[in-house]
Amino acid sequence: MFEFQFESLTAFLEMAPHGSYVWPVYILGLGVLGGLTWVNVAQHRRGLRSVKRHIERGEIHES
Amino acid sequence: MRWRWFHQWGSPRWFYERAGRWQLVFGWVSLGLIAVGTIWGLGFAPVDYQQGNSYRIIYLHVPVAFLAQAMYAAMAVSALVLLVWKMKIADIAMQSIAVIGFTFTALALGSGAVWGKPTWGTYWVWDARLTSMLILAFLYLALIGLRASIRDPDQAGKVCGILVLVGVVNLPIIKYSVEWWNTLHQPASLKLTEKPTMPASMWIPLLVNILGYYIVAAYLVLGSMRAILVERERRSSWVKELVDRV
Repeated sequence: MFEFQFESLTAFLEMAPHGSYVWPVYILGLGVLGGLTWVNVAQHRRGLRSVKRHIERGEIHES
Repeated sequence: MRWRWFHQWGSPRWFYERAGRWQLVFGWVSLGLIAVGTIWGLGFAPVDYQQGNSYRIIYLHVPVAFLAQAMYAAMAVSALVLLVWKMKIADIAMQSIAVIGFTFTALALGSGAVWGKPTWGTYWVWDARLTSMLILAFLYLALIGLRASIRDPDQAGKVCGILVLVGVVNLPIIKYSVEWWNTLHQPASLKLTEKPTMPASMWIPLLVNILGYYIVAAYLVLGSMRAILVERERRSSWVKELVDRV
């Protein structure tokens, strides 16, 4: 079950004759997952910075 | 007492703190599972005798296609909770799921189109499964657009909740489209009630990736919900305390 199915790394990358279909899908998929994670982190940081700015300007008081 | 856990989820502060801990666990677990499932599927699973190596797209396509539908179902449950119990956190869940669900649906359509070219000879056909998935993508987009067009978050939540529940009708259509109509799309690769048609060396990595993608979706939704919570609750004392700590 754990036998590498390709003779070489080149054969693995070529995935003959379908490497040009398979690899772009995985690059896109990983890019999307990375992008979503980055957007979350950025949105969270932006939110916290925005609250901090509002507090400094006195627009938000303790409730 | 029995419903205490349910109401705790409605507390923004409680949710924010718990979600932060869970997010960390989900992030690392999903990374491990997806790495194992993908490397296994791409390098160690046997070649398909009919489709050759192009079938390896299955290890991404099937998990994201499952998720596209499961996330809509999760959004429908959130809509129901919002409309019945008026729980704000359910509205935030809906808002988060809409964006991430749309992204997974687009990824399922895109990866399916690329897989279609070597298998069917075309990127797209107006096939029942593909068309119902495209409708799902439009539903997600409509929800994102609708929310952006209404200023009052409470009003936006109610209107979006109703649209989500109306759109649920599309889910059984997607699921049974390959049985109700003659389609190019193959039937489900994995079913809970039947033995897989693929050998174990093919479906085990698929199962690992499905689990990994479900957990990564939970990680992403929790992260997005926490970010939205900070924005919506910016006038609360707990957010001020949080900002002081950071």
